[in-house]
Amino acid sequence: MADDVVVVCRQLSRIYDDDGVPVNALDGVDFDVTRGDFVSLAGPSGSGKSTLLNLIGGLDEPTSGNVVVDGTNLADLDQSQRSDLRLNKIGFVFQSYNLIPVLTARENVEFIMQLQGVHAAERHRRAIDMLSSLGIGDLGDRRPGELSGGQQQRVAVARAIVTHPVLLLADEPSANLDSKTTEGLLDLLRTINREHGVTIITATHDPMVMSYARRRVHLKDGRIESDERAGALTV
Amino acid sequence: MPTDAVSVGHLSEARKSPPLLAAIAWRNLWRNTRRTWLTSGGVAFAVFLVVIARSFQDGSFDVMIDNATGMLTGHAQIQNVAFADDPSLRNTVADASRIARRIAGDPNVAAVAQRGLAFALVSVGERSFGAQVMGVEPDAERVISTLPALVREGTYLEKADDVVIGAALARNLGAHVGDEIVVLGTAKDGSIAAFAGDIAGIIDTGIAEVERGLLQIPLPQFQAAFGLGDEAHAIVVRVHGLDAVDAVNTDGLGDELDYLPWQRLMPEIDQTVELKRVGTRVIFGLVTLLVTFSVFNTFIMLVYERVREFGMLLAVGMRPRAIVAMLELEAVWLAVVGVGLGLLVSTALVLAVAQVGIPLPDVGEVLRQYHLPDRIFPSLSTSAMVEGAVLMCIAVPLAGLLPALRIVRLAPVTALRSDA
Repeated sequence: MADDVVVVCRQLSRIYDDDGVPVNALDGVDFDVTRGDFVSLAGPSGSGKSTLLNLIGGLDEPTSGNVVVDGTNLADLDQSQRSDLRLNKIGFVFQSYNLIPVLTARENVEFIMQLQGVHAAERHRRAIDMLSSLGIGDLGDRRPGELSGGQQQRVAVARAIVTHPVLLLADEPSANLDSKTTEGLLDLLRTINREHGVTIITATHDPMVMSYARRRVHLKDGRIESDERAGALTV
Repeated sequence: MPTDAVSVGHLSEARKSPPLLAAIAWRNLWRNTRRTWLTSGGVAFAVFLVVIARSFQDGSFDVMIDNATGMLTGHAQIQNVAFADDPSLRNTVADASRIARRIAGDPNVAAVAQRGLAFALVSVGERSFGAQVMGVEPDAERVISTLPALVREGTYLEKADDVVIGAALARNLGAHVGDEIVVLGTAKDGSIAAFAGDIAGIIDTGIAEVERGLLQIPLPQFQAAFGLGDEAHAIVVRVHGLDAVDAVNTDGLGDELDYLPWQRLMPEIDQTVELKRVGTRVIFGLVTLLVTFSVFNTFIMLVYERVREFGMLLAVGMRPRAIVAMLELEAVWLAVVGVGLGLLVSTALVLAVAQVGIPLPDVGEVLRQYHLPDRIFPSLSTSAMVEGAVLMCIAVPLAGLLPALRIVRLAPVTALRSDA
């Protein structure tokens, strides 16, 4: 695998069992992502975009095929090793933020670093710096329930990137946000992508999210229907 | 932004030091305040029950053992090794005075008394009865035995030829204070042992079996009459608290002598105490089982409600075992809250009741007849506190473990899609 390719998917299939009926969520997909890219996976519900994202993140296991992330074949890893890979190389941003409700914004960001073994003083400093750089430095002592949706999503982004991941996976990151907050979030993701070189893959229905991506992959019925980059269209 | 991964060394270090995990676990505990109080209340009740029941039980056992041993047996005795099976005049403790002085020097020992024991024919006037003649040290007996205080008529032993006898024996002999009494038996060398004295006092124990054969004379007269020299049959020991019985230094007693704690002297009392303790433990076991089921149920609900959250934690890189550990920390906190509460309330109650005791009006008269107190005074049982706390601190995390282990098999993607 070339050094500039961070994700390699080969003949990736995922068949779910729906009350005895096999459902082909992903059907032999080949998909590569180069380092530093900003990719949006689009398509209607059931097209396989979230399934692809979950397989790349090691949250789900393919029925057949391979996923390689930053040179590591996920098939070679057990569940704990996949946890370690996610902890150190992949950041997640979820549709419903998924912050730890009993921790403050700063503690949510610190928590991930503690899992990594970062010492208390350093993780405290880095969490404050990260929240400040995302414009929510004054909200560090608030718990998720005391924050708006947009603020929670920023905390989630801070948590995802504070560990310096090679890959940021965002599943419908704008689904619960209004258009103005979405725009702010996308500006933030673009900055992270451009200035920090973090590869971003997002699964979305939202045209605004797609418009921020440099590469737009359209899925339908578990297959890649179109793969568009900077005005060019490849299939 | 650098993208290098964190070293494995740092990872393992983080997983060994869970202060934030402990904080999360503590805060998670209070996400459902009512449920936490209900569950920890169950734990507290179990601890409360253990401590209260055992404290009252220990208090009554202490009184029972003290009364049982206080009349005659003492907390322990030093005897000839053969005496327990063959309580004959020959099986003596040689050099008894020296051994008694040595034992009396032990800091655990409160009092020591030598005794000689022999069966003899006792006569007053025309009537004769068999009795166990006991040669005693009057001053030491006043400290070690309750009998001197139970003299109903006359006085306890004051002069060399004084004799005290049990009330039942006095009735059988038709004897009164001041009557002359003659003791006839067999001395150690086989010759006739004889002693004549005056009845100085009559002892009323309330226990006919004891009084029927009870006769005490001063030890020097006993030793002279039965040809014992400085020999005795028992060195009776009273210690500072029952727990000190086994702490007495008995080194150097030799093969000829045996140190018998009250459990060997009065095995029926020891067995009664042990039987009641076993019964109490069975009840505690059942209560613990109930509490364990309650905690188990709480954790099933708790895991079910937070599946999505666990999916998120798995997704951000927390290992399944770390999540199980976090839940176990919640169980430990739950146990700590319950145990703390239970210990606090039970200790306060035991200490308060120990000041005044609990009156037993219905059986008080009977107890007084046997010279027992007519109130129960609980004795704070530290062993019950430790047992209750340890039991709950093991049972609660164990009860939480089974539901928590579900997380090990949890697929992150399934958990994240959970609607719970």
